Amino acid sequence: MPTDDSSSQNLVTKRAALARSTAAADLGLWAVVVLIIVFFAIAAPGFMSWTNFLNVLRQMAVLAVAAFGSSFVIFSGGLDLSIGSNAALSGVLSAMAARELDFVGGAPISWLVGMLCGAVFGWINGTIVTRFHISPIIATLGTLTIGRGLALLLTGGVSLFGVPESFQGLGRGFIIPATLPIPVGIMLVMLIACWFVLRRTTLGTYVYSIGGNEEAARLSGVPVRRVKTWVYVIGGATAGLAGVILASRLGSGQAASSEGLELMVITAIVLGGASISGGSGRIGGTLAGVLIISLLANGMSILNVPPFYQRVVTGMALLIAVGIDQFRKRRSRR
Amino acid sequence: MTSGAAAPLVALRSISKSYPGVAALRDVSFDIGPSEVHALLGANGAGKSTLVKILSGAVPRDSGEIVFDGSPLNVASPHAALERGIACLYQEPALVPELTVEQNIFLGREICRRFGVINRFDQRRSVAAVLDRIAPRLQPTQRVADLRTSERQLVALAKALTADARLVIMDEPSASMTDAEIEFLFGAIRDLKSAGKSVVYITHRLDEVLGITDIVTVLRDGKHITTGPTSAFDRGKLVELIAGSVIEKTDRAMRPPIGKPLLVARNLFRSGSFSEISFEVRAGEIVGLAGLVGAGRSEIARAILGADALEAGTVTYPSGTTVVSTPAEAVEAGVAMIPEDRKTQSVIPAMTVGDNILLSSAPHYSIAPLGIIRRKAANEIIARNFRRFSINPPGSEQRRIETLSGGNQQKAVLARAIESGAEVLLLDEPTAGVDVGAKAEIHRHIEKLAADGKGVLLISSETEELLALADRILVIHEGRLIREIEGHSTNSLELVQSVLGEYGKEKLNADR
Repeated sequence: MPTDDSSSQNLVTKRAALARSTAAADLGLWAVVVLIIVFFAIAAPGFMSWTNFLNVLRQMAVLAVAAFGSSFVIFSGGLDLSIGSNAALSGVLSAMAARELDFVGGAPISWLVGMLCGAVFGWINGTIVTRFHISPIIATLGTLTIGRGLALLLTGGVSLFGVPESFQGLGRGFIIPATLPIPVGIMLVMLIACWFVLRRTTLGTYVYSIGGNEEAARLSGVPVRRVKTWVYVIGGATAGLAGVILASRLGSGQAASSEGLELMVITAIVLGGASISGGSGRIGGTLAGVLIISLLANGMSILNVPPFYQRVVTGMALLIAVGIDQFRKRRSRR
Repeated sequence: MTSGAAAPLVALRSISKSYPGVAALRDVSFDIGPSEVHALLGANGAGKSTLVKILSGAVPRDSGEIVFDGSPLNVASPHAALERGIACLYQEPALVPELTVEQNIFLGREICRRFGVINRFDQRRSVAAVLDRIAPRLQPTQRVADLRTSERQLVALAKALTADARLVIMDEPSASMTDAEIEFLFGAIRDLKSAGKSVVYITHRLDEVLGITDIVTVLRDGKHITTGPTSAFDRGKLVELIAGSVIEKTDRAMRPPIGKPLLVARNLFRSGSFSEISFEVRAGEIVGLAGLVGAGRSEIARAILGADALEAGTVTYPSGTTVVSTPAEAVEAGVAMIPEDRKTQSVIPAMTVGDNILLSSAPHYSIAPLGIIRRKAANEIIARNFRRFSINPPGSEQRRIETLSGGNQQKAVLARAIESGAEVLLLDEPTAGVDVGAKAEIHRHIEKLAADGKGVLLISSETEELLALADRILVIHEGRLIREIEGHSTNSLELVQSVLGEYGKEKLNADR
């Protein structure tokens, strides 16, 4: 009897977990992704081809990597506006390091330098927020400006060339030739790693708890300050990685690159169903958000929609998605 | 209107109000006459605040009716109540800190010229007249943020006075006031009365009741106990009415002999909250903290948990350490807390019941240093607590906790604190707002904790809860530990007397 009981309970738990992972919100989101694909498959010739598919994946990798890390920040109720600057600064530093380390095995070190720069940048954000009690929006607005200024200072405002060929390996190389570009591989690894940390470690639980009710989390013994600092470090490190991938693809360090990346990232995360006030959201949702933005951009380019219109459409997509979500929430509350 | 002097200003008829799990007011009826200073008395949770909120339009009543000045009162907001002539001074004055004294006094009903331009001249004159009477030290141009709580009370009073209300409700306005300020307050009350207006005055200080009020109403457990002229009561009688029937020693199972001290507090001090607090919590012991709301009980618990800083004094924790500066460190040192307000301080509404239970016990189900969750161990903890507390509905482990009833949420919160492995639990109003069934169950678990050799510090505003559970009761009055009572040897009258700061006063007065 007791075994029967526990197994039936197990089943209930499993079924509940299944229900949770295929929650209506997620289904709606992926339905939108499918809808967009179907629309462009019909409307845009050449959209449904392997080359274009690879193209979309490669283009979205930078945004996706930054968005995965930033999801931690948003889920915990924070905000990081400095992602774009951080990516640019990290890309520049990485390219500079590559120039100095012009020997075999030097390129990977320069990539690491860039990522480390991003992590330190994030740590500074986290420290300002947790130690000096400056609200995240102000703190990262400050570091946004500082970071961009530093990047411009380092490059003197011009593109940083003379970077060894090997530096480009990260952005242009393939894991499986002509099938799996390295950036896409990194994106997939980051997706799984972030999912694992959010759903299978205590850090993940703490992130959601702080986003859901920071005071309750604190009084329960959650090390709030440490977790909040970590969240910015993770967001910063992925922004740095995104910057390195971009610099590597471009083959140069550009201080003016990644401008507005933070807004794209926030758009993607919110499209993915996260609440901007924290406490909810999933990494899979963020992936769907990035896909929606990237597929829209790609499809519209094929249809020769002028870039200015593309911005209008992306903005409208955000408002419609969040509007529908709010409408559904209010209705279910009634 | 023609019925003359006998017509009451306010007639309350069968007012009832329940919150989930508790009946805050049950069938309360009484009158408030014109030109009358009416004291509203009762212990914590007797229903005074709820009644005030209903009168001032802050919460709707469930049933009953109110006649104000001859016509039914159905106000949906404090603003609407003010329009009808009912002004309210809350314990925490509702003012906008960034605005000046004058702006606050006229907020929402500025004296205007055409096109919404404020008539500063008229406003300034009328403010000066009011302030002169009740708070001559305050300037109309001072920012409210710069004022002390008691001064803010006076600004709120000025606001009520200039609104020309027929009924002014004052909810413990004197709690933070100096003697001089109280004199101004009393002066204002006398002025109101002689101007034909009525005042509802809530206080725990019986001196004030006997000194300034004409009529007394006592509430207990949401029920109306009595209304009568103040002159008909003396101190002793009032305390008796507030405390209710004297419950003699409660029957309860003996606990094993009490063990070594787990938590030792020495001379704790935090300015504005409490001072010279020393006590111990021993293994197997339930120590009650009694006192009025705002006496400093929650503040003491929060300081022990490291949520607020102690300014002086030492706490020795179960682990032996004396250095704790965050709740996380306190949990590590063997102390966990159930905070006072479930909604804002203890549950994470958007997380599942399971995750809420697991929040304080990470080391028991995860692999250090990365904190990888062992799913099986985690599920075991969740299942164990669902069984132990019979959390309803069964199988709701993966549901968001906000979908559960208050009592079941509270059980999950208690489970969280216990699973942290704490040796000492600080329970701040653990049964507030839960239904009777859940309450009995929580009581059983608190006793079980003590039987298992844990130490419990129980803060409760409910006299019966303390009498039923606590081995010792520490009485906190205005931030000081004024008495320590053996739980077995006391009764509700003695406890209420102590809580009100009245214990021993009767004797003193008799000697005079």
